[in-house]
Amino acid sequence: MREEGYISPRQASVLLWFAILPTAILFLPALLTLRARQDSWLAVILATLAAGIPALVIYLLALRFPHYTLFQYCELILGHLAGKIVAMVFVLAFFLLNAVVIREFSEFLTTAVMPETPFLFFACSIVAVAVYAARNGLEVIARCTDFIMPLLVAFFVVILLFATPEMSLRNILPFLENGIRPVLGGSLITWPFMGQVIILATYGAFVNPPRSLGWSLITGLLGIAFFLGLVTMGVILVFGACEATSLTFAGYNLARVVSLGQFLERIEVLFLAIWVAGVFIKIALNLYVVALGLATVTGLKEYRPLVAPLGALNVALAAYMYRNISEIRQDLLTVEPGWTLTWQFILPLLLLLVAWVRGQRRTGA
Amino acid sequence: MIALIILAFLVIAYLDAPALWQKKEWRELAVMGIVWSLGLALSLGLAFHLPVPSPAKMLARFFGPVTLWLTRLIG
Repeated sequence: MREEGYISPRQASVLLWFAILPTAILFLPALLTLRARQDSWLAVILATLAAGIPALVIYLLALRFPHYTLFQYCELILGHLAGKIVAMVFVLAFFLLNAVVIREFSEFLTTAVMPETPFLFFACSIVAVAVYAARNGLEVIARCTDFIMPLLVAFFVVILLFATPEMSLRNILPFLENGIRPVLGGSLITWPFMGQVIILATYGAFVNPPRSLGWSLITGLLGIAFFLGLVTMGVILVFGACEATSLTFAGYNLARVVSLGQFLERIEVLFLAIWVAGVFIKIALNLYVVALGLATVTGLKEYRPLVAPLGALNVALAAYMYRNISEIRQDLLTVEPGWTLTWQFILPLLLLLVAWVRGQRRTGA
Repeated sequence: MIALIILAFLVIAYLDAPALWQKKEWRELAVMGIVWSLGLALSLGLAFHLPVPSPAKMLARFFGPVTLWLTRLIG
Protein backbone atom coordinates (compact mmCIF):
# COMPACT_ATOMS: atom_id res chain seq x y z
CA MET A 1 0.00 0.00 0.00
CA ARG A 2 1.05 3.60 -0.54
CA GLU A 3 1.27 6.36 1.93
CA GLU A 4 0.56 9.92 0.90
CA GLY A 5 3.39 11.79 2.62
CA TYR A 6 6.96 12.44 1.50
CA ILE A 7 9.99 13.21 3.62
CA SER A 8 13.19 15.01 2.71
CA PRO A 9 16.53 13.16 2.47
CA ARG A 10 17.73 15.04 5.55
CA GLN A 11 14.76 13.90 7.59
CA ALA A 12 15.36 10.33 6.41
CA SER A 13 18.93 10.35 7.66
CA VAL A 14 17.96 11.90 11.01
CA LEU A 15 15.24 9.27 11.40
CA LEU A 16 17.95 6.69 10.82
CA TRP A 17 19.93 8.17 13.72
CA PHE A 18 16.89 7.82 15.91
CA ALA A 19 16.30 4.27 14.72
CA ILE A 20 19.69 3.22 16.07
CA LEU A 21 21.21 5.65 18.57
CA PRO A 22 18.79 5.85 21.55
CA THR A 23 19.11 2.26 22.74
CA ALA A 24 22.65 1.85 21.40
CA ILE A 25 24.21 4.64 23.51
CA LEU A 26 22.66 3.13 26.61
CA PHE A 27 23.31 -0.59 26.21
CA LEU A 28 26.12 -0.96 23.74
CA PRO A 29 29.27 0.50 25.38
CA ALA A 30 29.16 -1.83 28.39
CA LEU A 31 28.59 -4.92 26.22
CA LEU A 32 31.27 -3.81 23.79
CA THR A 33 33.96 -3.38 26.41
CA LEU A 34 33.30 -6.99 27.48
CA ARG A 35 34.69 -8.12 24.14
CA ALA A 36 36.86 -5.38 22.70
CA ARG A 37 38.13 -3.75 25.93
CA GLN A 38 39.76 -0.37 25.27
CA ASP A 39 39.49 -0.75 21.50
CA SER A 40 35.67 -0.66 21.55
CA TRP A 41 35.52 2.57 19.60
CA LEU A 42 37.37 0.79 16.79
CA ALA A 43 34.72 -1.95 16.82
CA VAL A 44 32.05 0.72 16.31
CA ILE A 45 33.88 1.99 13.23
CA LEU A 46 34.31 -1.54 11.87
CA ALA A 47 30.62 -2.29 12.40
CA THR A 48 29.74 0.92 10.57
CA LEU A 49 31.87 -0.17 7.62
CA ALA A 50 30.11 -3.54 7.71
CA ALA A 51 26.73 -1.77 7.81
CA GLY A 52 27.82 -0.02 4.62
CA ILE A 53 27.13 -3.28 2.75
CA PRO A 54 23.39 -3.52 3.59
CA ALA A 55 23.24 0.26 3.05
CA LEU A 56 24.58 -0.24 -0.48
CA VAL A 57 22.12 -3.10 -1.00
CA ILE A 58 19.24 -0.86 0.11
CA TYR A 59 20.41 1.88 -2.25
CA LEU A 60 20.70 -0.46 -5.24
CA LEU A 61 17.29 -1.97 -4.50
CA ALA A 62 15.82 1.52 -4.19
CA LEU A 63 17.25 2.43 -7.60
CA ARG A 64 15.66 -0.70 -9.09
CA PHE A 65 12.31 -0.12 -7.39
CA PRO A 66 11.93 3.62 -6.75
CA HIS A 67 8.98 4.52 -4.51
CA TYR A 68 8.42 0.89 -3.51
CA THR A 69 8.84 -0.20 0.10
CA LEU A 70 10.82 -3.25 1.16
CA PHE A 71 7.57 -5.19 1.67
CA GLN A 72 6.36 -4.32 -1.82
CA TYR A 73 9.48 -5.23 -3.74
CA CYS A 74 9.80 -8.52 -1.84
CA GLU A 75 6.71 -9.56 -3.74
CA LEU A 76 7.87 -8.02 -7.03
CA ILE A 77 11.20 -9.85 -6.82
CA LEU A 78 10.24 -13.26 -5.44
CA GLY A 79 6.75 -13.67 -6.84
CA HIS A 80 3.42 -13.81 -5.07
CA LEU A 81 3.77 -16.56 -2.46
CA ALA A 82 7.49 -16.53 -1.63
CA GLY A 83 7.44 -12.72 -1.65
CA LYS A 84 4.62 -12.62 0.88
CA ILE A 85 6.44 -15.09 3.13
CA VAL A 86 9.71 -13.13 3.07
CA ALA A 87 7.85 -9.83 3.61
CA MET A 88 6.09 -11.43 6.59
CA VAL A 89 9.48 -12.48 8.00
CA PHE A 90 10.58 -8.84 7.81
CA VAL A 91 7.35 -7.69 9.48
CA LEU A 92 7.79 -10.20 12.31
CA ALA A 93 11.45 -9.26 12.70
CA PHE A 94 10.64 -5.55 13.02
CA PHE A 95 7.84 -6.46 15.41
CA LEU A 96 10.16 -8.50 17.66
CA LEU A 97 12.75 -5.73 17.46
CA ASN A 98 10.16 -3.25 18.66
CA ALA A 99 9.19 -5.54 21.54
CA VAL A 100 12.86 -5.68 22.58
CA VAL A 101 13.15 -1.88 22.39
CA ILE A 102 10.01 -1.40 24.50
CA ARG A 103 11.35 -3.83 27.07
CA GLU A 104 14.81 -2.19 27.09
CA PHE A 105 13.19 1.21 27.62
CA SER A 106 11.00 0.14 30.50
CA GLU A 107 13.67 -2.02 32.13
CA PHE A 108 16.08 0.92 32.10
CA LEU A 109 13.55 3.17 33.82
CA THR A 110 12.64 0.56 36.44
CA THR A 111 16.23 -0.45 37.09
CA ALA A 112 17.94 2.92 37.13
CA VAL A 113 15.34 5.52 38.03
CA MET A 114 12.05 4.30 39.48
CA PRO A 115 12.55 0.85 41.00
CA GLU A 116 9.12 0.68 42.65
CA THR A 117 7.10 1.19 39.46
CA PRO A 118 6.15 -1.90 37.45
CA PHE A 119 7.73 -1.89 33.99
CA LEU A 120 4.34 -2.37 32.31
CA PHE A 121 3.41 1.16 33.28
CA PHE A 122 6.34 2.62 31.33
CA ALA A 123 5.78 0.24 28.41
CA CYS A 124 2.07 1.14 28.14
CA SER A 125 2.63 4.89 28.37
CA ILE A 126 5.41 5.11 25.77
CA VAL A 127 3.53 2.83 23.34
CA ALA A 128 0.35 4.87 23.76
CA VAL A 129 2.24 8.01 22.70
CA ALA A 130 4.03 6.15 19.92
CA VAL A 131 0.72 4.79 18.59
CA TYR A 132 -0.59 8.33 18.44
CA ALA A 133 2.48 9.46 16.48
CA ALA A 134 2.49 6.46 14.14
CA ARG A 135 -1.21 6.88 13.32
CA ASN A 136 -0.42 10.38 12.10
CA GLY A 137 2.01 9.06 9.54
CA LEU A 138 5.66 9.26 8.65
CA GLU A 139 5.73 13.00 8.01
CA VAL A 140 4.67 13.71 11.57
CA ILE A 141 7.30 11.39 13.04
CA ALA A 142 9.90 13.05 10.81
CA ARG A 143 8.84 16.50 12.01
CA CYS A 144 9.13 15.35 15.63
CA THR A 145 12.78 14.57 14.94
CA ASP A 146 13.32 18.13 13.69
CA PHE A 147 12.54 19.22 17.22
CA ILE A 148 14.30 16.46 19.16
CA MET A 149 17.46 16.14 17.06
CA PRO A 150 19.04 19.49 18.11
CA LEU A 151 18.31 18.58 21.73
CA LEU A 152 19.99 15.22 21.26
CA VAL A 153 23.07 16.73 19.62
CA ALA A 154 23.31 19.47 22.26
CA PHE A 155 23.06 16.82 24.94
CA PHE A 156 25.89 14.77 23.43
CA VAL A 157 28.06 17.88 23.25
CA VAL A 158 27.25 19.00 26.82
CA ILE A 159 27.89 15.62 28.40
CA LEU A 160 31.08 14.84 26.52
CA LEU A 161 32.45 18.35 27.01
CA PHE A 162 31.68 18.53 30.72
CA ALA A 163 32.95 15.01 31.36
CA THR A 164 36.38 15.86 30.00
CA PRO A 165 37.84 16.71 33.47
CA GLU A 166 37.16 13.09 34.45
CA MET A 167 38.78 11.64 31.35
CA SER A 168 42.20 10.09 31.26
CA LEU A 169 43.86 9.40 27.95
CA ARG A 170 45.74 6.45 29.41
CA ASN A 171 42.49 4.48 29.52
CA ILE A 172 42.40 3.81 25.77
CA LEU A 173 46.00 2.59 25.69
CA PRO A 174 47.45 0.10 24.84
CA PHE A 175 46.03 0.20 21.35
CA LEU A 176 45.11 -3.24 19.90
CA GLU A 177 46.59 -5.03 22.90
CA ASN A 178 45.28 -8.47 21.92
CA GLY A 179 45.32 -8.05 18.16
CA ILE A 180 42.37 -7.49 15.84
CA ARG A 181 40.22 -10.48 16.84
CA PRO A 182 38.61 -8.96 19.98
CA VAL A 183 37.75 -5.90 17.89
CA LEU A 184 36.06 -8.11 15.30
CA GLY A 185 34.16 -9.84 18.11
CA GLY A 186 33.13 -6.41 19.35
CA SER A 187 31.82 -5.39 15.96
CA LEU A 188 29.71 -8.55 15.99
CA ILE A 189 28.11 -7.25 19.21
CA THR A 190 27.60 -3.83 17.57
CA TRP A 191 25.85 -5.37 14.59
CA PRO A 192 22.36 -5.85 16.16
CA PHE A 193 22.24 -2.07 16.55
CA MET A 194 24.03 -1.03 13.36
CA GLY A 195 22.13 -3.50 11.18
CA GLN A 196 18.93 -1.59 11.83
CA VAL A 197 19.86 0.65 8.89
CA ILE A 198 17.67 -1.86 7.03
CA ILE A 199 14.69 0.15 8.31
CA LEU A 200 15.55 2.75 5.66
CA ALA A 201 14.52 0.19 3.02
CA THR A 202 10.93 0.58 4.26
CA TYR A 203 10.42 4.30 4.80
CA GLY A 204 13.08 5.14 2.20
CA ALA A 205 10.33 4.68 -0.38
CA PHE A 206 8.84 7.98 0.79
CA VAL A 207 12.04 9.95 0.33
CA ASN A 208 11.85 12.35 -2.55
CA PRO A 209 13.76 12.20 -4.90
CA PRO A 210 14.62 8.45 -4.61
CA ARG A 211 18.17 8.99 -5.87
CA SER A 212 19.07 11.06 -2.81
CA LEU A 213 18.58 7.98 -0.64
CA GLY A 214 22.31 7.39 -1.06
CA TRP A 215 23.01 10.71 0.63
CA SER A 216 20.60 9.85 3.47
CA LEU A 217 22.29 6.49 4.00
CA ILE A 218 25.81 7.91 4.06
CA THR A 219 25.06 10.85 6.37
CA GLY A 220 22.87 8.62 8.52
CA LEU A 221 25.57 6.02 9.00
CA LEU A 222 28.34 8.58 9.49
CA GLY A 223 26.30 10.43 12.11
CA ILE A 224 25.58 7.21 13.98
CA ALA A 225 29.22 6.13 13.86
CA PHE A 226 30.30 9.58 15.04
CA PHE A 227 27.98 9.82 18.04
CA LEU A 228 28.16 6.17 19.02
CA GLY A 229 31.96 6.20 18.68
CA LEU A 230 32.21 9.37 20.77
CA VAL A 231 29.99 8.01 23.54
CA THR A 232 31.85 4.70 23.59
CA MET A 233 35.17 6.52 23.66
CA GLY A 234 33.89 8.84 26.40
CA VAL A 235 32.82 5.88 28.51
CA ILE A 236 36.22 4.20 28.11
CA LEU A 237 38.11 7.44 28.77
CA VAL A 238 36.15 8.19 31.92
CA PHE A 239 35.71 4.74 33.44
CA GLY A 240 38.42 2.65 31.82
CA ALA A 241 37.70 -0.63 30.04
CA CYS A 242 37.59 -2.70 33.22
CA GLU A 243 35.05 -0.62 35.09
CA ALA A 244 32.99 0.01 31.95
CA THR A 245 32.15 -3.70 31.63
CA SER A 246 30.32 -3.60 34.96
CA LEU A 247 28.12 -0.62 34.03
CA THR A 248 24.75 -1.69 32.73
CA PHE A 249 23.74 1.72 31.36
CA ALA A 250 26.98 3.29 30.23
CA GLY A 251 25.55 6.46 28.62
CA TYR A 252 23.52 7.19 31.76
CA ASN A 253 26.54 6.68 33.99
CA LEU A 254 28.55 9.00 31.79
CA ALA A 255 25.96 11.73 32.41
CA ARG A 256 26.12 11.06 36.13
CA VAL A 257 29.83 11.77 36.48
CA VAL A 258 29.41 15.32 35.13
CA SER A 259 29.97 17.73 37.97
CA LEU A 260 31.15 21.24 37.26
CA GLY A 261 32.23 23.48 40.13
CA GLN A 262 29.44 22.55 42.56
CA PHE A 263 26.67 24.14 40.49
CA LEU A 264 26.23 22.00 37.37
CA GLU A 265 25.38 18.60 38.76
CA ARG A 266 22.94 15.74 38.28
CA ILE A 267 22.43 16.41 34.60
CA GLU A 268 21.40 12.77 34.17
CA VAL A 269 17.85 14.11 34.46
CA LEU A 270 18.50 15.93 31.20
CA PHE A 271 19.76 12.66 29.79
CA LEU A 272 16.51 10.96 30.82
CA ALA A 273 14.27 13.58 29.22
CA ILE A 274 16.08 13.56 25.91
CA TRP A 275 16.61 9.84 25.87
CA VAL A 276 12.92 9.15 26.46
CA ALA A 277 12.12 11.45 23.55
CA GLY A 278 14.61 9.56 21.37
CA VAL A 279 13.20 6.16 22.27
CA PHE A 280 9.72 7.48 21.60
CA ILE A 281 10.77 8.25 18.00
CA LYS A 282 12.37 4.84 17.66
CA ILE A 283 9.28 2.99 18.89
CA ALA A 284 6.91 5.14 16.82
CA LEU A 285 8.99 4.54 13.69
CA ASN A 286 9.15 0.78 14.27
CA LEU A 287 5.43 0.64 14.96
CA TYR A 288 4.74 2.58 11.77
CA VAL A 289 6.95 0.23 9.75
CA VAL A 290 5.32 -2.89 11.24
CA ALA A 291 1.79 -1.58 10.58
CA LEU A 292 2.74 -0.54 7.03
CA GLY A 293 4.35 -3.93 6.40
CA LEU A 294 1.42 -5.91 7.74
CA ALA A 295 -1.00 -3.80 5.69
CA THR A 296 1.12 -4.42 2.57
CA VAL A 297 1.37 -8.16 3.10
CA THR A 298 -2.34 -8.60 3.76
CA GLY A 299 -3.27 -6.23 0.93
CA LEU A 300 -5.03 -3.50 2.90
CA LYS A 301 -5.67 0.05 1.74
CA GLU A 302 -4.96 1.62 5.14
CA TYR A 303 -2.32 0.87 7.74
CA ARG A 304 -3.86 3.13 10.41
CA PRO A 305 -6.40 0.72 11.95
CA LEU A 306 -3.56 -1.73 12.62
CA VAL A 307 -1.34 0.63 14.63
CA ALA A 308 -3.19 0.59 17.96
CA PRO A 309 -3.81 -3.20 18.15
CA LEU A 310 -0.21 -3.83 17.07
CA GLY A 311 1.02 -1.51 19.83
CA ALA A 312 -1.05 -3.39 22.42
CA LEU A 313 0.20 -6.75 21.15
CA ASN A 314 3.73 -5.38 21.24
CA VAL A 315 3.47 -4.46 24.93
CA ALA A 316 2.14 -7.91 25.80
CA LEU A 317 4.92 -9.53 23.78
CA ALA A 318 7.54 -7.32 25.41
CA ALA A 319 6.34 -8.62 28.77
CA TYR A 320 6.81 -12.23 27.68
CA MET A 321 10.17 -11.74 25.94
CA TYR A 322 12.49 -11.51 28.93
CA ARG A 323 12.32 -11.88 32.68
CA ASN A 324 14.77 -9.11 33.57
CA ILE A 325 17.49 -6.78 32.35
CA SER A 326 20.27 -9.38 32.51
CA GLU A 327 18.35 -11.64 30.14
CA ILE A 328 18.23 -8.77 27.66
CA ARG A 329 21.97 -8.23 27.97
CA GLN A 330 22.60 -11.96 27.62
CA ASP A 331 20.41 -12.03 24.52
CA LEU A 332 22.19 -9.04 22.98
CA LEU A 333 25.50 -10.86 23.45
CA THR A 334 24.66 -14.42 22.48
CA VAL A 335 21.57 -14.48 20.26
CA GLU A 336 20.94 -11.15 18.57
CA PRO A 337 24.14 -11.03 16.44
CA GLY A 338 23.25 -14.26 14.60
CA TRP A 339 19.57 -13.40 14.25
CA THR A 340 20.09 -9.83 13.07
CA LEU A 341 22.85 -10.82 10.63
CA THR A 342 20.36 -13.22 9.09
CA TRP A 343 17.50 -10.82 8.51
CA GLN A 344 19.32 -7.51 8.20
CA PHE A 345 22.30 -8.65 6.15
CA ILE A 346 21.79 -11.96 4.34
CA LEU A 347 18.10 -11.60 3.49
CA PRO A 348 18.39 -8.17 1.75
CA LEU A 349 21.55 -9.35 -0.03
CA LEU A 350 19.65 -12.39 -1.36
CA LEU A 351 16.81 -10.12 -2.48
CA LEU A 352 19.23 -7.98 -4.46
CA LEU A 353 20.92 -11.04 -5.98
CA VAL A 354 17.61 -12.53 -7.11
CA ALA A 355 16.47 -9.18 -8.52
CA TRP A 356 19.78 -8.85 -10.35
CA VAL A 357 19.70 -12.41 -11.75
CA ARG A 358 16.09 -12.13 -12.89
CA GLY A 359 16.75 -8.64 -14.18
CA GLN A 360 13.76 -7.08 -12.44
CA ARG A 361 13.28 -3.36 -12.13
CA ARG A 362 10.40 -0.92 -11.94
CA THR A 363 12.05 2.27 -13.09
CA GLY A 364 9.61 3.00 -15.90
CA ALA A 365 6.57 3.66 -13.73
CA MET B 1 -5.96 -5.53 36.31
CA ILE B 2 -8.25 -7.67 34.15
CA ALA B 3 -10.87 -4.94 34.00
CA LEU B 4 -8.16 -2.44 32.99
CA ILE B 5 -6.94 -4.70 30.18
CA ILE B 6 -10.44 -5.22 28.81
CA LEU B 7 -11.14 -1.49 29.04
CA ALA B 8 -7.92 -0.67 27.18
CA PHE B 9 -8.71 -3.13 24.39
CA LEU B 10 -12.27 -1.80 24.09
CA VAL B 11 -10.84 1.71 23.65
CA ILE B 12 -8.45 0.40 20.97
CA ALA B 13 -11.32 -1.29 19.14
CA TYR B 14 -13.47 1.83 19.43
CA LEU B 15 -10.74 3.96 17.75
CA ASP B 16 -11.06 2.36 14.33
CA ALA B 17 -13.53 -0.50 14.20
CA PRO B 18 -16.81 1.51 13.94
CA ALA B 19 -15.49 3.57 11.02
CA LEU B 20 -14.27 0.43 9.23
CA TRP B 21 -17.64 -1.24 9.82
CA GLN B 22 -19.50 1.68 8.28
CA LYS B 23 -17.19 1.79 5.27
CA LYS B 24 -17.60 -2.00 4.91
CA GLU B 25 -13.82 -2.56 4.88
CA TRP B 26 -14.10 -6.23 5.83
CA ARG B 27 -10.49 -7.09 5.01
CA GLU B 28 -9.15 -4.32 7.24
CA LEU B 29 -11.57 -5.34 9.95
CA ALA B 30 -10.48 -8.99 9.76
CA VAL B 31 -6.72 -8.27 9.99
CA MET B 32 -7.28 -5.77 12.77
CA GLY B 33 -9.51 -8.26 14.57
CA ILE B 34 -6.85 -10.96 14.43
CA VAL B 35 -4.12 -8.68 15.82
CA TRP B 36 -6.55 -7.30 18.40
CA SER B 37 -7.64 -10.72 19.68
CA LEU B 38 -4.05 -11.96 19.78
CA GLY B 39 -3.13 -8.92 21.87
CA LEU B 40 -6.13 -9.42 24.17
CA ALA B 41 -5.36 -13.13 24.61
CA LEU B 42 -1.69 -12.48 25.42
CA SER B 43 -2.53 -9.64 27.83
CA LEU B 44 -5.09 -11.76 29.67
CA GLY B 45 -2.51 -14.55 29.77
CA LEU B 46 -0.20 -12.06 31.44
CA ALA B 47 -2.85 -11.17 34.03
CA PHE B 48 -3.59 -14.84 34.77
CA HIS B 49 0.14 -15.76 34.78
CA LEU B 50 -0.25 -18.33 32.01
CA PRO B 51 3.03 -19.99 30.94
CA VAL B 52 3.30 -18.53 27.44
CA PRO B 53 6.66 -19.41 25.84
CA SER B 54 8.96 -16.44 25.23
CA PRO B 55 9.69 -15.69 21.56
CA ALA B 56 13.21 -14.72 22.62
CA LYS B 57 13.75 -18.30 23.86
CA MET B 58 12.67 -19.70 20.49
CA LEU B 59 15.09 -17.40 18.68
CA ALA B 60 17.82 -18.35 21.13
CA ARG B 61 17.38 -22.07 20.43
CA PHE B 62 18.31 -21.60 16.79
CA PHE B 63 20.35 -18.40 16.61
CA GLY B 64 22.30 -18.98 19.83
CA PRO B 65 24.47 -21.68 18.16
CA VAL B 66 24.76 -19.51 15.01
CA THR B 67 26.08 -16.60 17.09
CA LEU B 68 28.45 -18.90 18.96
CA TRP B 69 29.82 -20.21 15.67
CA LEU B 70 30.23 -16.68 14.30
CA THR B 71 31.97 -15.54 17.49
CA ARG B 72 34.42 -18.45 17.28
CA LEU B 73 34.96 -17.73 13.59
CA ILE B 74 35.87 -14.05 13.80
CA GLY B 75 36.00 -12.94 17.44
